Amino acid sequence: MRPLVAILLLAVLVTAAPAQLARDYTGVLSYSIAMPTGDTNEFISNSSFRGLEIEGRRFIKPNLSWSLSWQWNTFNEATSGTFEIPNGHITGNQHRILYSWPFLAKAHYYFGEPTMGSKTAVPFVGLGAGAYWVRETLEFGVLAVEETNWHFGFSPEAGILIPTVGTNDLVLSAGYHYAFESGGRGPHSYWTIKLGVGYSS
Amino acid sequence: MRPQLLRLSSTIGAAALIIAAALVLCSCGLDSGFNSIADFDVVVTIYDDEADFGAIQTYAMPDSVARLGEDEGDFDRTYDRLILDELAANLEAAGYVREEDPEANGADVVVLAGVTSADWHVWISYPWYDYWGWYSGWGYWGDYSGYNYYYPPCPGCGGSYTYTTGSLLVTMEDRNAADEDEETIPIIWAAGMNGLLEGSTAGIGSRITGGIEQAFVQSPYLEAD
Repeated sequence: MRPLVAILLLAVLVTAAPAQLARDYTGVLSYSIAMPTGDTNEFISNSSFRGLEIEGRRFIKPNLSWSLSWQWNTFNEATSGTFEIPNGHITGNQHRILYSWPFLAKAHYYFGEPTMGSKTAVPFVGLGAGAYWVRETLEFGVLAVEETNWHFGFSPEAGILIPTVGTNDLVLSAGYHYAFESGGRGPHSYWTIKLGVGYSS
Repeated sequence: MRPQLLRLSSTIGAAALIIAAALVLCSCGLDSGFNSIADFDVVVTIYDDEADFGAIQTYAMPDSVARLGEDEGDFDRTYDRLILDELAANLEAAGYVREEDPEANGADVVVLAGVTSADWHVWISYPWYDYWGWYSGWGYWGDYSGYNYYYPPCPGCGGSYTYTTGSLLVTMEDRNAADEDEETIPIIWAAGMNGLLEGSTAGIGSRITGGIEQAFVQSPYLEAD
């Protein structure tokens, strides 16, 4: 994480401050940490430190935007023990892997106007909905079972947009993802914490 | 123009580095921490939930371990004695008495052990005579050479199990319940220890012992009344 923070600070410090301007578009690229809950937590309880989000926000009002986003979080966990199967039991080491790719349309409301070049951080709340591609893999010794399903889901989030200097932003947010049951799997759910860098025009 | 270009390049640079960092984080191998061959051992047991395991008093077991596959494979018979002794010890601990003369006296069940000399696909049923037809103990039950074994009903298990080369399979079959119309003999309990005889010879003995003991530990219903 330390190199990532240094990169973000460097990107902010080397730029000069322009006049304050309203923004039309903001692109945000974020690093994402995820903590599983519910059924997802029963399958894998480890937090995910492998995550990414790419999002493009279009401002339709100074304090309102809609966006499209793609995220990627990978969870994995190694465990062992005896597990029940139909008419029997199986014992061995397991490696469980879950990939979640949400493709979401979102709307964000800002408690203020996040103008470019402003020195004021602006809190926001947002809600997204769309499709979740989820792949679950269960490796049992040399055997493996894989399940891939598309789920419908939604994701509320809250955060703070910090216009730094120039057209750059830092975006810090926390969100929750819920993907409804599909194909006999799920529902899947997890919290995310994201740290991103934005570029606006 | 210069400050704008600087701002743009710094943002693009930061974004590119974040993408690179994220892709490295996402794409590098997900390490399970399982490294040795023993870490991949799996013990599977299935049973017929209508079988009365408590009523079983005696069992018969051929004094040999079959090679399941097209040929003998690379496995010598170094571990056959250990496999049979370990099975006998665990069956005795379950309260079952070994019938030493099944040809004359029969037995409640027959226990068979085999090692796969190639990847072995076990469907719902398979022919047994090719592997254990030589056993003199069958004389008590008559000629069932054309019959197939079939595994316990297992909803959701799919059509077959696949065991890799070197797997140890143990079955308990109820020859007294042979279906003469269907020409089948039911297997009421089966244990598969996947890949147990693979890898270096070091540790194979303890893996066999541990695997067979685990098969019985996870089958507590194997206990004579």
